[in-house]
Amino acid sequence: MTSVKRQPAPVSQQAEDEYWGGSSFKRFNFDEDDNNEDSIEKIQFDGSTATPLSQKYESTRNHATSYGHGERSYVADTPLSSTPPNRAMSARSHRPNMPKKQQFPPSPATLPAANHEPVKSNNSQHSMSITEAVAVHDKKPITSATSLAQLETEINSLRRQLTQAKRDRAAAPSVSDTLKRVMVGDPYVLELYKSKDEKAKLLDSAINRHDGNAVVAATLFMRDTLKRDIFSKELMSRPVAVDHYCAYLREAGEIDELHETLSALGRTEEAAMLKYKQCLASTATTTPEIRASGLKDCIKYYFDADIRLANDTSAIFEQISMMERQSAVEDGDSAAEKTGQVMVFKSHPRKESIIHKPVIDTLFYCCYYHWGEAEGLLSSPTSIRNQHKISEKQFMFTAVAALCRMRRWRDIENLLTVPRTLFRSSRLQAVIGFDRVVDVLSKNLAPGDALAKYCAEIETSDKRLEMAVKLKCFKVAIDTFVYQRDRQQLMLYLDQIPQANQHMRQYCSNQLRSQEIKWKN
Amino acid sequence: MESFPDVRILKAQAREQFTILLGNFYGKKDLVIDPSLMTVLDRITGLQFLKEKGVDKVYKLEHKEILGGGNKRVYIVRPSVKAMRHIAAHIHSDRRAEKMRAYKIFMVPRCLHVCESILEQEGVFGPNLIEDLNIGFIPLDQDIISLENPALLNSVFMEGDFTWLHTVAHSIVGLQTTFGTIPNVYGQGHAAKIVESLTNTLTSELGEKKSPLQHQIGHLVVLDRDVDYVTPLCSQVTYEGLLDDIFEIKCGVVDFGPEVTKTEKSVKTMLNSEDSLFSEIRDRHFTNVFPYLSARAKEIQANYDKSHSMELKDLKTFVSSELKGLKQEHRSLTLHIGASEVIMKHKTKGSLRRGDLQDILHIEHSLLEGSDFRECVNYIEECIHRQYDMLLTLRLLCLLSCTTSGLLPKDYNNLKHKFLHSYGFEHMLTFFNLKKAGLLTEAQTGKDTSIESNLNKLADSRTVGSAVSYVTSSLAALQKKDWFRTVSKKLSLIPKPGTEYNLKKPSDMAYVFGGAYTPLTCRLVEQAIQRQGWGGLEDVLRHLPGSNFEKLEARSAKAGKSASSGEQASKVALVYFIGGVTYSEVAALRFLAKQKGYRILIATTAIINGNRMLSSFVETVR
Repeated sequence: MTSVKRQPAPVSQQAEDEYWGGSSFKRFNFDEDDNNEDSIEKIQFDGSTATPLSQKYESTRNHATSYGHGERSYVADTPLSSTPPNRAMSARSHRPNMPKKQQFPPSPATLPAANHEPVKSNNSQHSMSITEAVAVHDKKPITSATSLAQLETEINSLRRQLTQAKRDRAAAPSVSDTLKRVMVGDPYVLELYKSKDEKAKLLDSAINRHDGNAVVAATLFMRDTLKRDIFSKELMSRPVAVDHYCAYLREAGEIDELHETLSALGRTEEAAMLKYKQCLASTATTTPEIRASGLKDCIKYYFDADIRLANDTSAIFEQISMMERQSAVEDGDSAAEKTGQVMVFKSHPRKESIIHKPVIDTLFYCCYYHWGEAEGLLSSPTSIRNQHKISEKQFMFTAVAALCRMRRWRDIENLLTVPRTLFRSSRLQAVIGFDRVVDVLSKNLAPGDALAKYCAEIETSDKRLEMAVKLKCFKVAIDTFVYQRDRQQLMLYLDQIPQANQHMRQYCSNQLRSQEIKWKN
Repeated sequence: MESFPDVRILKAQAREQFTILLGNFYGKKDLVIDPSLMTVLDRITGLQFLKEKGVDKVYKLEHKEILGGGNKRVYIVRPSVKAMRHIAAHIHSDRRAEKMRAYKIFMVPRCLHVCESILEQEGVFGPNLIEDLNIGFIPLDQDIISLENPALLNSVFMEGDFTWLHTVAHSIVGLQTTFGTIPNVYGQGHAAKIVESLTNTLTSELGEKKSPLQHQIGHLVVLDRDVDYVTPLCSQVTYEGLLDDIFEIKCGVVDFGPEVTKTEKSVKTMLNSEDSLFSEIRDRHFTNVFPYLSARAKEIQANYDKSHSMELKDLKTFVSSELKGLKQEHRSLTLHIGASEVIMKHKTKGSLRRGDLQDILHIEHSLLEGSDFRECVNYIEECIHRQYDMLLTLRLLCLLSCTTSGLLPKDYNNLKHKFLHSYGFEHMLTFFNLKKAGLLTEAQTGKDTSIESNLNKLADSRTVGSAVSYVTSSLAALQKKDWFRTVSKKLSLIPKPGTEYNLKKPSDMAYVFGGAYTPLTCRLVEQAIQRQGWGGLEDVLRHLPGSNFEKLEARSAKAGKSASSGEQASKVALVYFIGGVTYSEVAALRFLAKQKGYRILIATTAIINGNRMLSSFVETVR
């Protein structure tokens, strides 16, 4: 106990010796220190006196290790290592009989003026306790040589402890301890892991624990405290850390760093996709020209290099050419719309711009407004079809829908007609099948006669019947029942034809009565 | 059954924690809530509760300033970088305006290192700024508890980021503290394994003692979503599943629009077992819903009619006792009939954006059976040609890929090319994401001589030798040839073609997909509980992604003593789906429980369906 309390003694030994040596109270301080600390502490520690110094020191030290960097500086501020000069001065000038402990403030927080005041007032009033104490000490015998030697060794041991304490303060807690704190959400500090091995160990243990948060923490700590190439090397050898690091970079929006990491890993496709996305995102509100040039750069730097990305590269080229087409068509059409001369824009006003729309949307638009234009024009559907290698089926679906909306029945018929050849007359044919044609027409709200016309063309009779019944193409349905020679079903079907449609009911009855048909039932 | 764990206690726990945190921040305060937490908080608190706790105004956290508000503000957010940046921006703008305000940030469920460092970098970090608000499970019903964290799917199975698995493990630890340590644990999947080990670490480090309570849950089955992507990709045909697919159920609440209510207003309805009518129909195959509803309607009508012929005295008791219940049932009946009608419309009439449900179901069944491959590809092509709803197209594409272990390069490139034309070139990013998650892949051709595979090898050897990250290893696992066929044959997931299935009286779990397919996950659960482990299933599990594990209770002589209560618990199982569960799987597990006399409690990170699952992988830059 005593040894700990005397800790201050060796701290500023030099200065003290000088001072005490010159004074008449040569041996006084030690004894005083021993016996009268209670009263001094009362003066000193405003309120919180009871705690022994050793504990105080211990607790601040703990704080330092657990709270880390920020608080480390405040430990250094404590006069353990060196007494602030102004305080030493004031003590000396005002209170020559004041014991040394005076200069050893309890806690750094109370360092300023608040601490001085009670001391000063004591000084002026010559408080009883101190005068009494002095009187007691004066009677004490002179310390023997042996006890001096004892004190000497004690001083030495204290010095050792102090250096040890100083060292401990900066030593890192064990890795598992820190990781536990990370995991359960206690405060922790990583800055104490100075050596590369310690850092690596921290990361490895975090990975072994599968604690994603700790993996990210350890990785970022390594990034901040290691040289770039060393960090990369350590990172690359730990795939789990790479995944977490990349996830972090993506979330934090550190795109360039992410790209670099992915490239270094040989994940070129991912790296290229990242750049492509970045390009799209950054040009979302700009003109198509700026985006196009961005995309061209993208191809040049990130896609061209890898032959495995050939398909994506050609897709981006298509995207660029589509954008150029869109902006030309858009400009032309909006100008034409403004003049008010073009009928089609008056009768069917344009709803939204086609800029940045998919290819098929654009094709639909061009089929809608620019059907039949010569291939040389950018707005011609045929030109889009050829340039983007749009399949026959795709073209049919889109064109039929667009023309149906425009109510251009003649054009639909032409589209679905195979011209007359040497061997056959012209006929209707649909590569998508007439059931699909009818479906598209009905979903685009085509009138009954248009539906009936193509419904009759549906290739298989079952499908034809199904569609005809569903879409209420009565004549087609009746004809199909007749074709299937299914009298029973036709009789049932008669009930489904509304009374209002007398014409069709008549037709149905006629068929039922017909002698020419060989019914199967 | 009284032995079944009462999960309502979890809600009370979350509520209490929230109360304490709010109480510690004295005085009147405003809340700023992460949009993704809105429904969750709604579910556990409600406005009245917040008002009692001194909450003044409630805002949504967005990328814009909040004008006004008092001098105390609480942010309730997920620990994301984006949320931190928004908060920092708010604080900065307050500082610029020299507005003095006290802040608190409640992180759900805990603060992450990156969040602290972002706040530090932005210069807004302060003491006591951050609190962890550990909202774990939200009980959606008496047998479903959910973390309501759909983002986990993307982060774990695409990015290979384990951060959220900590939350999963933490939730298991919490459950074990409340309901006793679960003696038997079985798991399948990469993430499940990690969760198991994290659970053990956390239990010891949080100093949770082995609970003195007699355990109420006998088995825990942990499954990764990527073990079975097929099930969520199928269209759902149970009533609740259809409601989720068509109206979208959020945190157990559905919003019926005017088309259902047939009035101007839309109605928000809680869907749980407290609604007796709903609990009767929720798990039925849709074909069995309408007959039941009409029978019920007649019954109610009869009850109303009864009142006409009543004596005055009887009428009084009728009004006071039965009428209220009848009215409530009437209301619920009207809603569900309205909803069924809308579903019927979807089923038989496609629209411009969607094919008929019947056609889609037909294609799905062919894909599951592995028949008529070309017809399926052609149908998907048609979906693309006609620009049907993108998620629908994508769902079928992914199903095609998952059931055939990846598309042939020819088909892949052809379909991708057309897809990009129809839906926009930017979706090459979506394709990349799906590839990374293992949902839509290109099969490796057997011929190693092809230029492409050589190039791949070259590229692989350039990367650091053994560095196989989670992402690439999960890809490799899925590329095992025809694994879905093998597994479905071994576990008999698909009935033999031509067998009639009686949907009215289903005999197994396959009814949830019209008798065409038993969900793989549910079959695994059945087997694990039945066999008390994975024993004998090795040659099946071998084909599934990730590894498997089991931890069985040490059967000592002591076991005989507590046999009576242990007996009961051994019939109770907790099934944890990492990455989400569908209502179809829930229905199948309920069926299983009823059939075998188990009690099955379903825990999940979120309730998903095909669309929600895929939309988390879709890139939306335009």
